[in-house]
Amino acid sequence: MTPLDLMEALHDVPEDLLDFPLDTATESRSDIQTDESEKVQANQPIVANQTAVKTSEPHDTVNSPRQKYGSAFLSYLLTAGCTAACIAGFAMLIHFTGAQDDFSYRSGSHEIAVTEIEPAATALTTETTTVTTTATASPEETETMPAVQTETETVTAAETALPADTVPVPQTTVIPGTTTHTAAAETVTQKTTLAKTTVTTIHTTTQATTTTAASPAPVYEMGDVDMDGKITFADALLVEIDYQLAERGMSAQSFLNDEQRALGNMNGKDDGRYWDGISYAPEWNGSLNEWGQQIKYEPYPLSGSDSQIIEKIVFWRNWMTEPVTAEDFQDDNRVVTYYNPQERRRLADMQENEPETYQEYDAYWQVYAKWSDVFYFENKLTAFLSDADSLTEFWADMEYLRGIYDREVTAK
Amino acid sequence: MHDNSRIIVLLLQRDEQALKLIREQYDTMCYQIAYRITGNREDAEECVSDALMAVWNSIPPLIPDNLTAYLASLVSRNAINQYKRMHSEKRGGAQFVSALDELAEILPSSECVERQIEKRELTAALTVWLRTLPPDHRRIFMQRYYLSESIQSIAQTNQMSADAVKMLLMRLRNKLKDYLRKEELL
Repeated sequence: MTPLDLMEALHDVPEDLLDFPLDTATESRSDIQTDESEKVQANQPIVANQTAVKTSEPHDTVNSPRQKYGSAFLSYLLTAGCTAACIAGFAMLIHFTGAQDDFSYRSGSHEIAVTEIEPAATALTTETTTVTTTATASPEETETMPAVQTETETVTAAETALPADTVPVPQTTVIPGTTTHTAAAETVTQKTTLAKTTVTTIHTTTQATTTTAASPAPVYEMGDVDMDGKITFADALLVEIDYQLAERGMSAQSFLNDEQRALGNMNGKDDGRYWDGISYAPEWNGSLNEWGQQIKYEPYPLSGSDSQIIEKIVFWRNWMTEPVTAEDFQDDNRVVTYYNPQERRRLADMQENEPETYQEYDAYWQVYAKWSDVFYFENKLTAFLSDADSLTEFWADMEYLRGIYDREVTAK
Repeated sequence: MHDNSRIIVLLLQRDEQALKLIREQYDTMCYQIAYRITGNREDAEECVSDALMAVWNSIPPLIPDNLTAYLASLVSRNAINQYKRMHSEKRGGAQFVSALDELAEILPSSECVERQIEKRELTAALTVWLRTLPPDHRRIFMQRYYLSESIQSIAQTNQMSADAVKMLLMRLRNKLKDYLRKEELL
């Protein structure tokens, strides 16, 4: 059989399979691009024509915080990433120290390597810390902001802290919301706890949301989760992290407010489970994917090697193009032990009985994707907590990312 | 707006206005398909003309459900045949191939029955396989291997990056290979 035979056979398939777009435009033949290297602005962001929040101000009048603050985007990324790690760490540590016995997503047989993590967990200390955060409006924003907000929050819960030298403290928590939010005086002890960072970040995010509500309400497009007027990789990252923490069963509080969740609800489900429409493209630019409705994110100007760092941070997975295969499971034997025998049998059945119909394929795909997601996250988290160097590496990655962003984006 | 039913009616009435309407509405599409395969303007034009002739000769009695797809299919088949002829010329010379073509007119099909059956089996298998694909994957596969669209063009129409399209196509090809092996067609 030659490729031509295959192509000929393809041209004999029933017409109902020819559901691809046929260009019937009436342009003249001279307009037809005959060179295969046709110029496509591949890096141009493509945004779906969906609007989540209807308000009076047109979208193009929104002042993008990114335009205003440049690297604020990365600060947000940094904050979001930290939040993910910290909330996850907090939740896991509470779990492992016995403060919370059951995680809803863990079945009884989910006896994952607790013993592997326990030494790392018990090595951590417990303390009570006070965090004082004072937020003031910048001069240019005082007209639109209703009030200067000052809050003092005391974290009294027993918190599990890491040794001071392993946790660099994020210096700034500027959220690229729609208004300026400057932490004028943020006193954080050097011995920052995971929980404290979490609370601070969530608190700051909430404040940003509050001030957003006070300003003239702009129109945000679906997918614009951080409400900065642009759909970017950060939006995907935010939803992804929130999904992992709040929806996946980590018992953590969602750090997105209702409006943000609505913007991330790409599949339009009524129950607000926005996350299951989320996926990432297998390269550096993220995508929101809702079964044929894809939003391509603003390209992030990173080279291939740099993209590995993003991959590491956002728990990258390849959902969009392919179900996870058996080979993927074999790559990491620990994964198998995570799941109970019933689910493992189900997996085995699926591998043996290949789907015949689209519906079967769909179910097959979704189960694999779901599992893939869980074990990706659990593996990352396990490694993160059990390896003291992981935290340092994480922060180093974030700093590296900031450098790249400043060089590639802010400089332009 | 396309008015395929009007074209069909005109064809059934043997009104040549139908061909004019087809030219107006589908000329670019047909030409693009043919050109992508043949890579030659004259050959592409010939393929389109032949397809129009085939439409005129086949309707009636045939009444296609989807005239657009039917036209695309006719043009691409013509183009593939043209491509084959072009490559035959490279091997044996145009006159030789032409002579063979002339002789072929008085002989049964050059393709033996067994080969015809194989082709049908292959088409049937492809049909089944294509139906197992999610619609968006199938669309991308067909855009590439039916319409011979460029990767960039597919990426643009599907709002994906070119790399994502390439990766998806690679995986689909591998899947198809596995499937054809399983069906003992490879």
